[in-house]
Amino acid sequence: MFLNRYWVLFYSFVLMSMLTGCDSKSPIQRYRVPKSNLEMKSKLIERPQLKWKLPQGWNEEAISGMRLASFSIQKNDHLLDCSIVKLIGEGGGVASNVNRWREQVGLDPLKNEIDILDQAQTLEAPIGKFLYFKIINDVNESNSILAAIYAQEHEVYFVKLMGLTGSVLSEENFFLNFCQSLEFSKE
Amino acid sequence: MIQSWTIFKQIKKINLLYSTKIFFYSLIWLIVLLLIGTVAQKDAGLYLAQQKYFSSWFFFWNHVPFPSGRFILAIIFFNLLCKILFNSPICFKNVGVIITHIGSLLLLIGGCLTAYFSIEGSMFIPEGQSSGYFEDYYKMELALINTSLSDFDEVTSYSNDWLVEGETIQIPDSTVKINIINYFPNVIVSTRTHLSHDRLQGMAKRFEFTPIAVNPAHEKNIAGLIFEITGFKDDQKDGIYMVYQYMEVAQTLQVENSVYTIALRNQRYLLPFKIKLIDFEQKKYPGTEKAKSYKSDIVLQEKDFERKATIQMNEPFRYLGYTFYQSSFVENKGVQATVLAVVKNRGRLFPYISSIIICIGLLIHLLIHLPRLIENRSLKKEIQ
Repeated sequence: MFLNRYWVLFYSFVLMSMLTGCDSKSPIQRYRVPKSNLEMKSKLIERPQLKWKLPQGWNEEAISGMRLASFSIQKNDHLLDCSIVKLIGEGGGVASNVNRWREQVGLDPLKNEIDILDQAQTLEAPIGKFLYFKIINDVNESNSILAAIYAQEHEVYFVKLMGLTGSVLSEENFFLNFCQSLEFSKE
Repeated sequence: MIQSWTIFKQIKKINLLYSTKIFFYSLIWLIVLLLIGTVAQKDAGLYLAQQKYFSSWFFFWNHVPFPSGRFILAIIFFNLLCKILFNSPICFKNVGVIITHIGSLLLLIGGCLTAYFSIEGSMFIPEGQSSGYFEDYYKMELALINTSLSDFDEVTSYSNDWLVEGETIQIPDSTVKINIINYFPNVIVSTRTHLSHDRLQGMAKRFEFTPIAVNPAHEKNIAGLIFEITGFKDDQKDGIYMVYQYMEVAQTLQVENSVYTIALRNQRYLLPFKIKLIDFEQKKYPGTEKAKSYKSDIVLQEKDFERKATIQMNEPFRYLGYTFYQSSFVENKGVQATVLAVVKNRGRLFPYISSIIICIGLLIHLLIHLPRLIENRSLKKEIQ
């Protein structure tokens, strides 16, 4: 009876339905890998790592979040914070970043992109030309930002120094030297 | 089960199922699909067009469902099966036709196995190093990598199927849960213009995704995932996080005594062996930068033995059902790395076997009917 041709047709139909069920959620995989092999692809494909000349008094901090590097500078009773961030593509564009920084220091955003670019100085570092912005809030005890934007072919690097206005201004030369020292490691 | 059988028995008009009209119109629809898929491929890319028109059961056009390739092939399969079961009396003159039909059925079964059980991707090995996994070209996974163990990293990975809104993923051995909010196959990462949520954590505090159309060149897409993490003992860490493909600085999480890296990456398949690249060689046409040939000298490493092999253009290496093709290479900082295309296809032999069976069937059919054909021809000549 079970070799009846109707049964063959029925079994084929059931088998096909079971196969269709294979479209269901894939199982969770759990495995162990040697530490060194985890990201060897990205290590080789990535562009060379950045290197820089660290100004005196700057301390390298542990990286976190999106930061490629983090530095702190002790100024009297407070700290200045400097960071390097890399974003793929245009990283949101120059104007939106500058306006975001202006808001961070309590300045109104600029509507016209030409006005924003007018505030930039074009300088050069070994990794290429960069736009340098001084976003200064003169009001007492306010924060200010010095920033550099390096647009590369596939990514953008942002270097930003933030802290109390007086301290930031006193650190400007060191910051500029730091920005102009940025280069890709050849190792 | 008996009930189902009686239902089948009750199909009085079984002859409808093996009607040649079904086969005929299905074939015409397949030709139409082929045409639509080929045109769609120009804008959507090969993979998406293939998924929509051939690897699915239905596709929608202006909210109207139309049968896709998988549905039509299932119809053809059952049509042929019914033809063999109910309308192919076993006799000498039918032997060729029955064999040909069986061959065609095998071809469809092979296609089915390929559709459901084959995997493919690429394997990247720098010179002097070995690798024991390959990465899917298209499918993504969310990998939770416990990096706090001393000798190795422990990976728990969740495939594409888990990356849908509302899905919940439990971080191993903890009370912490990841709730998927949004998954985007292609995004632009940009700095957040204004805070939209006070529970943003990690890179989500300062960055946001702008979803964009999927690029037909799949390697140009950057997938992005937004998720909420809950259940931390210190609820300061609860909140909304985001990760994206090729993220430069990984999102890490301290969960109890373990440190996890959360990565959105191409799905990885582990191999039951390792492949070590001894040497990669690229030959160029003289005086040009155009590649003439690539060649990878490899060593297959299994528990107890090693085996040398060479993979080059049109000369793949096969082992344990996996086929490795020379696909590309990467050169950076003076280090060369080979890129191998890896395919595991359980239906790989079916096209060969079924083609042979179909040929045999057609040959038998021809030989059986040849005397009659010759006879008819001479009869016609005599009448003339």
